[in-house]
Amino acid sequence: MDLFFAGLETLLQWQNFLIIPVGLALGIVVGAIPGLTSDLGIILCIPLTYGMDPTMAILMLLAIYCGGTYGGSITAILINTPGTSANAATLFDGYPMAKKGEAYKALSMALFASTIGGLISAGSLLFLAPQIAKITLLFGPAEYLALAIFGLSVIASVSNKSIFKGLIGACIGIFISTIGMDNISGTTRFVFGKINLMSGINLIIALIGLFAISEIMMKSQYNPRTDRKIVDASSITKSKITREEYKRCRKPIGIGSLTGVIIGATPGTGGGLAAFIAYNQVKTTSKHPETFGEGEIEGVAASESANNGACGSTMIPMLTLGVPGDGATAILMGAFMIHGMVPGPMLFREQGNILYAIMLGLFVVNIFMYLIGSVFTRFYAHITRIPYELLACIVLTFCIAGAYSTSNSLYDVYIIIVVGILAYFLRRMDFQLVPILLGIVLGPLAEMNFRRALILSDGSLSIFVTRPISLGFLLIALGSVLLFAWRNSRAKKKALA
Amino acid sequence: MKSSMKRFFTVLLALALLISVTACGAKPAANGSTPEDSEKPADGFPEKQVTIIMPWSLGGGPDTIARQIASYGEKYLGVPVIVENKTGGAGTIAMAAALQAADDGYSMIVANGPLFSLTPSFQNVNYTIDDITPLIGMREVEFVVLSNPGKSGIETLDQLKEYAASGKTIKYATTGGPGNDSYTMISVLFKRLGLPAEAVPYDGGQDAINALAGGHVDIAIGSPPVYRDYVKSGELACLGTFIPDGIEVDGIGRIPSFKEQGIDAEFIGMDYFAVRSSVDDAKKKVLTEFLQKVYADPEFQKFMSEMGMKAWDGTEDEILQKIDEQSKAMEDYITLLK
Repeated sequence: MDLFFAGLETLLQWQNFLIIPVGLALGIVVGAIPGLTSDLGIILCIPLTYGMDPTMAILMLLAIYCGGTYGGSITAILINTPGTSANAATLFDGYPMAKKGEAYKALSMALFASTIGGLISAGSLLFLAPQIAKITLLFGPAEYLALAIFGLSVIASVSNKSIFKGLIGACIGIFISTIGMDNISGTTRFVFGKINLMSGINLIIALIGLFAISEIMMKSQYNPRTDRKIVDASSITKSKITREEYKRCRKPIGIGSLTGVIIGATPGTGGGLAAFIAYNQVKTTSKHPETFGEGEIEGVAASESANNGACGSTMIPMLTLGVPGDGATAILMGAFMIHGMVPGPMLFREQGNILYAIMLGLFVVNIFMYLIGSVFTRFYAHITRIPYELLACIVLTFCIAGAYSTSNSLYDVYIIIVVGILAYFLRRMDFQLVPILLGIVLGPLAEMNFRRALILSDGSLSIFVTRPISLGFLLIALGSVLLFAWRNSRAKKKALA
Repeated sequence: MKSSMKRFFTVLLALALLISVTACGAKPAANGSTPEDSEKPADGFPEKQVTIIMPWSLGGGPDTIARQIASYGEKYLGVPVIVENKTGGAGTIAMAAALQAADDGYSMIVANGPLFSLTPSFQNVNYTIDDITPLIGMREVEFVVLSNPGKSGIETLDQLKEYAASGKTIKYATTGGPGNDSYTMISVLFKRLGLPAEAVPYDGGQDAINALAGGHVDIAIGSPPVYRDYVKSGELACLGTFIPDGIEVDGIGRIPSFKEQGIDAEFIGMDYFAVRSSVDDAKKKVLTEFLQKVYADPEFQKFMSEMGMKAWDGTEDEILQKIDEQSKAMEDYITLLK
């Protein structure tokens, strides 16, 4: 308890309350621009924190992280391109809502859900870190594989029209993820002698190509003379969330936040997977699954509460075990070290008061995020008024700049074009892009851990069913696919009747 | 028909726009500088930003050190210094980028020993040690082999042997796949010990140590500061190090070498700064002096000690000699593993 109050005292300095909004604003901007991620925002700002005291420095970087995870939803909703991979699930309902003229409502729900998810996550970090960290350590290769399969089971519910096309999409994604060097055998796959391909296709690069470039190409049929909708400026902020909608979103936000906390605390996963799983759970357990994907506010609530729900909990394994939960926390871990704090089992004992200041500060970060977001949401919503021919040029420029900046290489720009063209033709053939993304994200997690598990079990597949956590995930995955299939067939029968 | 033709041409136009936008940036970016730069006299050097090409990922040991060094660019070099991560291919992608960059002194690379002593045995690389000149050392990497006594009961080499004698195959976590230095060295250790063992490659030092802490593997390899806290808190135990004279680790004490324990397996990992060998000597001197000034800065020294690391100011000759020795040793080790 002493540490708690010492931490509170360290937190309550005016400088901290000045730096948090700065970090949040930066985070929201980098998160919203496709290709720029909160990872990059944190890296760019680490040198700025050298002169600050550790609490202030880490709070600024955490604000960028949380702001970036929320900021990515803005572009997902407005231009059908997730700002970061964590916001890909927000596309399902966010963009359809914007098309229906409910951009303001979708953006407000994204902000509200992100804040609640973030606060619950901060609470889990503050009160449950040691317990969650112990569970995290139980995750071996078999558990990771089961988790990846659980993630892949989402394909069933996100490929509405054709499960077959969904599976092909996932295979294409898995194929893309196998390009590069295989860490277990040390051999290269599908690189065709090109040294640049040896490091594989970067996730964020694939994301820009898949969503942004293909979206611009799809809109190439847009004719400003006939297709332009005159958007009435006064109508934009009229689509406010009703009390009934807030009530309806309580369950999705609860499921999303808890999923975010659990998945976020598992190293090697992150907010993107959490959002997909939460979306899937909310959709499968909903009384009206058919409205999902058509602009259902509960879908936005589920995915946005989940990705921000992961923000605080990804720090749990990092702070308690020294194991970063995702890319951003790996960079944050570097920042902790720069400020003289070595994350790991000893950190709580050695630097408890700073750590408590940071954990308490995470609540402040989320509250500020809500305040800043509410002021600016009305402005973002006006982006829908920009003529598409102009918006497409701006988006394309940001995408190319974003792709180039990922590793200062034109090579990545070529990759987004190739992936974009591929995605365009797939979309013309009615393929969904999300199964492809799931394949890219989960393919390596599944493959590497499948092979590692088999090494550990001397080649026996029983390892996946004899370990309780692994078996549990596999059963939930199976259950969710079966439930979905049952509901689908019932809906079809109803439609026929 | 008319509308589908129109669509086709619109797609074509969009593509042309994409390609033209990317083509605009191609020339200056491809080699990092304009041709005039390389003809400028060394006495004006440096006049613009210097880039450190980093083969390893963000937030890792070498990256963190390089970024800290880069922050002294304005102070000691008069220009900004930035770090660019070009990861993948066990460092070969960064090597290719460094050798493609202009030899005007504005691009440095962080390299290690295995890029020359180990990687060529596993991949077709298009570089040799003659393509680069080491400027100064960065750090020595001290690999330690660890066990988890609470899970496997192994705390010493003898207990490791007993464990294997009971008919079990030892599963050990490495920080990378074949061709990686940690993979090679820990595999050599088990060959030399003559124990049945199998490698489980992970994606990095943290992952490997985490697998050990969770009891998923019996043994793991790591370098400080990754394992330090676990050993301090008594969760993990050190079996030995590949550094021939043993090492002293703050808060843990002395870790004996395998050589001292009668096993012929030695390795001193190292990272160092280098430039293309065709860079002008005067410019190499400017860059080396910059790095020396940073190493001498008390603030930098404080930073390194807080990180549990030491800067290593090895000279060009020392580095080349170590690479040469390592290359010979690796030939033996690789034959042993094949």
